[in-house]
Amino acid sequence: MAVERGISAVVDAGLISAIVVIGLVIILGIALQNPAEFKYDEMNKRYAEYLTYSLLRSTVQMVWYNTSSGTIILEDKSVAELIAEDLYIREHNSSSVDIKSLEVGMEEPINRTLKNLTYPKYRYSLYAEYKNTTIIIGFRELPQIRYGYTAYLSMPTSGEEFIVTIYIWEVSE
Amino acid sequence: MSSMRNRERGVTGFFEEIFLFAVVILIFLSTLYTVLYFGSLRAEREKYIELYENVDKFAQSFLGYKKIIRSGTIGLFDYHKLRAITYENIREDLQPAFNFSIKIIDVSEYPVKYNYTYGNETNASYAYYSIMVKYPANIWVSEEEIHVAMVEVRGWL
Repeated sequence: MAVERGISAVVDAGLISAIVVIGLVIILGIALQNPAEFKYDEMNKRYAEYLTYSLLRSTVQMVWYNTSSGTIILEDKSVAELIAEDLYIREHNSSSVDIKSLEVGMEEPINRTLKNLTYPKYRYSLYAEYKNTTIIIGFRELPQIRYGYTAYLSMPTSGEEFIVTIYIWEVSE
Repeated sequence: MSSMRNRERGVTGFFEEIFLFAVVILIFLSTLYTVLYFGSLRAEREKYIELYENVDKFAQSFLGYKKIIRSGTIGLFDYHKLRAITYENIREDLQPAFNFSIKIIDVSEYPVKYNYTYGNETNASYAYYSIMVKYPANIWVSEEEIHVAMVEVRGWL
């Protein structure tokens, strides 16, 4: 009889515990349902947009590139103007311009500015396209999850369209 | 013999039931603690996210703050206007529901930097909730000289 009563108590305890635990787990589940999430995606998209405008309208104190007739120095030109000039030179394949010097003298200052506006939270990549020419400044490999913003601009002389897209992505810690 | 057997059964049953009752109570309390713990975590997180959203909205309001931008362009600050405004101006006009400080950091390569600070963020280190939001912007110095800048907005409760 004592054994039977003991078994009965264990069964009762097991049942009550199970009911209590299941009930509280259901409450916990309801409490944790649809937890509030900050809209990081929207914030990152907005960051990409502000970054694009901020970069393109900013001016650079001095950039340069080499030609067969000497070094060209450009002062206080906007980044949009510099990208336009870079694309135009590359597209028209002017042999008098040292293309390597474009990378060092024009694109590197833009790269440093982009870095100052994104580090340490983001990595970046700038794609500028005009006809058959594409310039990439920054990281060349884009991750799957990234945020981009595209600006449609016009060449200063011809008025032809060129496109600048800046991608950013968060650095995984 | 019969009364002896009944007494033994009673003592055994009592201890078994007390023990199992204690086990049930222990399980109940530990589960209840877990529920309360996660509930409080959720409440904390919601408060944090609410502050994050509010600081983010405030940062955007600041980027479009008419008293400092040039030609109505969002994020293009006129350095003359940045010098003229005060922390009190910002608080009165944008009315954030939290303590704040704003830093505009000139990250251009020009040798002369135009950095501005509104408010004192040292108080934020004592705050329970503290959030910082950053956005790129520009400081207009002249038509030929537009610097890149980072706007750092810190909000705390």
